[in-house]
Amino acid sequence: MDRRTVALIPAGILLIISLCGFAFGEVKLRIDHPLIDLSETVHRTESGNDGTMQAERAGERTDISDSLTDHEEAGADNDAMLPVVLTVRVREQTVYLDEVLYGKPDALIRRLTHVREQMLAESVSGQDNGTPFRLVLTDAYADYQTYMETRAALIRAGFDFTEETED
Amino acid sequence: MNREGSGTAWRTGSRRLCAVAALLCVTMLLSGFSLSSNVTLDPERNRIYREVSAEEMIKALADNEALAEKTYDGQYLAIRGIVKEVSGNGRTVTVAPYKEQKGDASVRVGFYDEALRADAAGFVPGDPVCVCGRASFSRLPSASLNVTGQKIERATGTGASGAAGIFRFLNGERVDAQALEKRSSQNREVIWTIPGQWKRVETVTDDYRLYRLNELPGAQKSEPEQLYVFYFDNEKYLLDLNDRTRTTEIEKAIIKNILPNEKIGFGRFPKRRDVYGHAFHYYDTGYGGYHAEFAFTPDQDNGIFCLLYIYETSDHLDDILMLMRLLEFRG
Repeated sequence: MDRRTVALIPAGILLIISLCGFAFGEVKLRIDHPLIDLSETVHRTESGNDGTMQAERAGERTDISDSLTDHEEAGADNDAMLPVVLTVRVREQTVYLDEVLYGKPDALIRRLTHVREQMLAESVSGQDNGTPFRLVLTDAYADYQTYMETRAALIRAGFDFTEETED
Repeated sequence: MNREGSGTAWRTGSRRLCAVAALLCVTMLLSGFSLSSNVTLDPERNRIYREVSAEEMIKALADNEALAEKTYDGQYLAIRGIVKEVSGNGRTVTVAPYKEQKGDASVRVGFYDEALRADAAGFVPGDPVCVCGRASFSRLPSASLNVTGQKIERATGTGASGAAGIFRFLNGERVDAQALEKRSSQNREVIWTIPGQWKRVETVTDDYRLYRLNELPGAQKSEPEQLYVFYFDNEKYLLDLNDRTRTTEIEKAIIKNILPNEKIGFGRFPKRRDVYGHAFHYYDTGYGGYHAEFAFTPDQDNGIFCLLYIYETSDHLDDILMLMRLLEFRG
């Protein structure tokens, strides 16, 4: 084996390793969205003037610390079993969703999406502009984890809503 | 033209070319597999030891050698007992159970570091002690458990072990695993634990859980310190299930899915450690001016457990290391 060949062996090894990666190709994922949308979730947490922590959310500020503080002041343990009440206020009417949807954020979002589409279809003038109802998330009798799972699912699905805590 | 002179020059040049090419190849190959000290989620930054008494270890060995080997071999333990003997100017410390018992069964701890030997030499028989180290089981000349010591300190209290599930950091901090909250992946195959106060800053979505650590009470900062925990289920996310054994390529796909502009160049493979029974693959980069570090550990061919840590300062690193320590796969 001459010296030129010996000199080329390391380069040849590198080339083979590179080609192996290309030969099998990249792994493709089934999803067409980011597993984590960092642009929505990584952000500075700003302190309000009164010292409460506020988190930016899609341009809408939601003061989450007060609702947690109310939870504490009411003497409620975060682990206490309190039912979630999710109300959909349709104009002046309040609609309560089935209890079967509690703790099942995926099913909840499908139901809300269906309701919204139905109401938009029924609207004659379309004046609701895609927001035909007011969504209120309340934590009366809420299991903390279920409440937060529901809240996160609503955010991801793009529903605007307000949060109310019951006395 | 002097043919002999040109031949000599070519031989000299080709040798140099071989040497340079070989050096370049070795460097490029090794750079991908180097165990970089820049990894933040590195368990060796603050190793965690499970507290156990010398009595418990000795009894386990006497009752069932095979089970003792399975339980303790390779484990990082904080062994509590009393000093029976110090020999070799601190090279070896023999730790006996706190309660006197028949026989001379004990746990031998060897120190291979000069500073540790100096510490060990300061102990005398009868001192209550806690030794942190890695245990190894040996059958020769007879079944025994030996420990490579990494820290020795005087034990407080009676020297006996506390309740089960107590873990100790190398820096002395103790954590009761039974006080931690358990979480699981959607398929319930992976279980991890979090401190109770993390519940307040936990966001749950279909694909991941987010812990906004910079918003924890008493440690609030404006700059983000966030930990994303998610399980990449191969059946749910892979387009071609035949790719499920290509762990490195899947990890690259995950990184590119979350960071589409990331350039994962040749040689920049995720770095690896085998700790606590899990092999973690790391990938460190940046996002929005903050550090961003991925830590992957495969769940056989079923999926990959992933951590993504985004931070400016890693104030809650010990809690994350404890999460990695207690990670459990049910498969």
